[in-house]
Amino acid sequence: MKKLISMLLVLAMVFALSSLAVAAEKPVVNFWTTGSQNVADLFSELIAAYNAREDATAEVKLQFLLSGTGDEGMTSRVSSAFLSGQKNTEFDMISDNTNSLMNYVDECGTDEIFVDLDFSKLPNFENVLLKPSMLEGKVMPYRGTTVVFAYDSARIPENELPHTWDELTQWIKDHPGRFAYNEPGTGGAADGFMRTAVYRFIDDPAARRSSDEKWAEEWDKGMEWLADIHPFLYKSGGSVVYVAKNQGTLDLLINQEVDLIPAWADQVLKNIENGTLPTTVKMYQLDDGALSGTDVSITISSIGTYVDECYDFMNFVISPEGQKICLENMKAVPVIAAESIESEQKDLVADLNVENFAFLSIGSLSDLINERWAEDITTLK
Amino acid sequence: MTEQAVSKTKIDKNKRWKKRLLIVTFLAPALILSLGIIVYPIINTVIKSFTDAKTGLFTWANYQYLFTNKIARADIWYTVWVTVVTVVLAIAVAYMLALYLRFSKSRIAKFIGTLYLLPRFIPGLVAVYAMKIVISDSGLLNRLSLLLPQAAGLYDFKPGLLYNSKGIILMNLWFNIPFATMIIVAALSGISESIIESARDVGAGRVRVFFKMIVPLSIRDVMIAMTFIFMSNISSFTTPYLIGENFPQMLGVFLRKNFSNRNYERAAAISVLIFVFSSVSAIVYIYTNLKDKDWERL
Repeated sequence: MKKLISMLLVLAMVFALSSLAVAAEKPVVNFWTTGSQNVADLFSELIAAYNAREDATAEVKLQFLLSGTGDEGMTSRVSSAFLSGQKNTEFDMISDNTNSLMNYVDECGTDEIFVDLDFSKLPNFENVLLKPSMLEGKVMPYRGTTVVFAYDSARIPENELPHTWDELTQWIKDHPGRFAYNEPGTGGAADGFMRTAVYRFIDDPAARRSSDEKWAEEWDKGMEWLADIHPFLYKSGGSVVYVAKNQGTLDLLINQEVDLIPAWADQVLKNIENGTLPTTVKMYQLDDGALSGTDVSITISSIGTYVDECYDFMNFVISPEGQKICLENMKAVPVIAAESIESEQKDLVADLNVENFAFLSIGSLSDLINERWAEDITTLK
Repeated sequence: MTEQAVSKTKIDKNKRWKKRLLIVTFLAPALILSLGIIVYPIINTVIKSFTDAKTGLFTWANYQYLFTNKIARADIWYTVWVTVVTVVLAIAVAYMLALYLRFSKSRIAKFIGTLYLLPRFIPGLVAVYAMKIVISDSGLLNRLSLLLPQAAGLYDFKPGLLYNSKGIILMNLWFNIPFATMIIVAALSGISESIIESARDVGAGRVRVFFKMIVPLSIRDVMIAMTFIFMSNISSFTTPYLIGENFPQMLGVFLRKNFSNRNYERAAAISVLIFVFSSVSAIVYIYTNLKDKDWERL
């Protein structure tokens, strides 16, 4: 009897140890990202789905920084670690708008902060339709998202809707107080609107993908246009207000205080799904210059602990299964052909084809243009 | 010295040493924490505020910007103005409320006495959103006005309190009146009934009792309440961020804006400025406390 028990115990121990060994085989790879809560929700689901797969070769761990509470610091943390020559840090994968990833390169002074991706380890990449707006070869776009104009079709009849920037200018002036954009720097919807408005006056298309400070000299016309419409925007307490955050302008649309706003397509869809926005709310783009969209990418940092171990998860994110999660969880625009995704929600984003996105990636010029906007526009009375 | 006496001093020394060790043990956690998370960051921030972002060398440029740039200057005045108005209004209302709570024996007073503490138990962010729902131009007040007959003239009443200093001050009062009232009520409760009665007995009128007795006996706590309200509002962020306007902005919001535009050195200079403002009120606080000890000795 004693023998049997001790045999069993030994067996149990061997089993426990071996299962431990199996578990320990999988490296824990850190995935860093930032954004609003919707980004955290998306990656919680993607990572849970990936980690649950039996053939997953790594265990991914989410490191999320809510935007506005330290995401600025994240760029600085990574780049200072890079500049001080640190290796084997916990920054394995980093994900952000490709435009924001450019900030890492600007702060590090070199694109060596990210490794050159080995696309042979990303078999699903051949299905990706979206070319990255910047940093090609270093980043893998996994979803698109774009700023659009959102309006309530119950309040703006189809024939009154402005379809060009000139018509928009006229519409804003004819309907004082019914248009609003949020304060740039507090949410990407305003950034998309404000930058598109400024850059449509710059003829050279190279400007739209450059963080070269020489372009700052050509912002005057755009800023003048923004100053021109300023007196006709949403007012509270007698003065024009640019509310904080993307949700700020969405709230104004929800409360019927304004009729037309620039907003993120995915956030509009989410609000319609939640019932906070009526189903009569529609989205569209102007014919002579769409509001900027962005590709959101994943990169592998060159100062992380793991490189090869990251590819499996990245490949999963751009698989039909991963893309389905992006679409259904976040209403994100998939980067692969819609036909390959099995989802009833495909129609929601059918009009927002990633191939037609108007990219505007100005990297660290973002800080400068926000400051310029604050000086030129907010000080107007 | 006898042997006994020697051993007694030894024991005394031993006791004293133990006592000191005890004090050190009790103080050490707080001391280490404050060194680590208060003193060190302050020194760091001050150094950073004098650093040039690009070269890393000493510069006055960050402060020069604060005192010459149009937006920065407007923001500094605006912050001081909003804070001072908040302090004055909060104390005025709180003092009247405290007097009522202290000297009225009615049931309503008792009810208000429990009710006024309620805001202290509501998280700040929740309170700000609740206030927005009430005072926004499409909020509760507006919707109630829409229910009125058109002739009332209030139809589609827009309070216009959101996204300007009125809204910030209103919200600040909501947060600070209960706090100030709590401190002043405590002070007024310390004034014993017998002092007031004896003054009344020798013919002092209500007004005289108020100005000669109640005010002097509670002024110290009023000053303390003022310094606390000043300090918490000069650096406030949530309220002005969600309720304030785009220009001018309070320093907390201005700081965040600079931080998110990665102007860390300028953000540090703003922090130092806020710190200087707070220090002024901290000095007032310490001074009031010391002065009062003299008064008590008499």
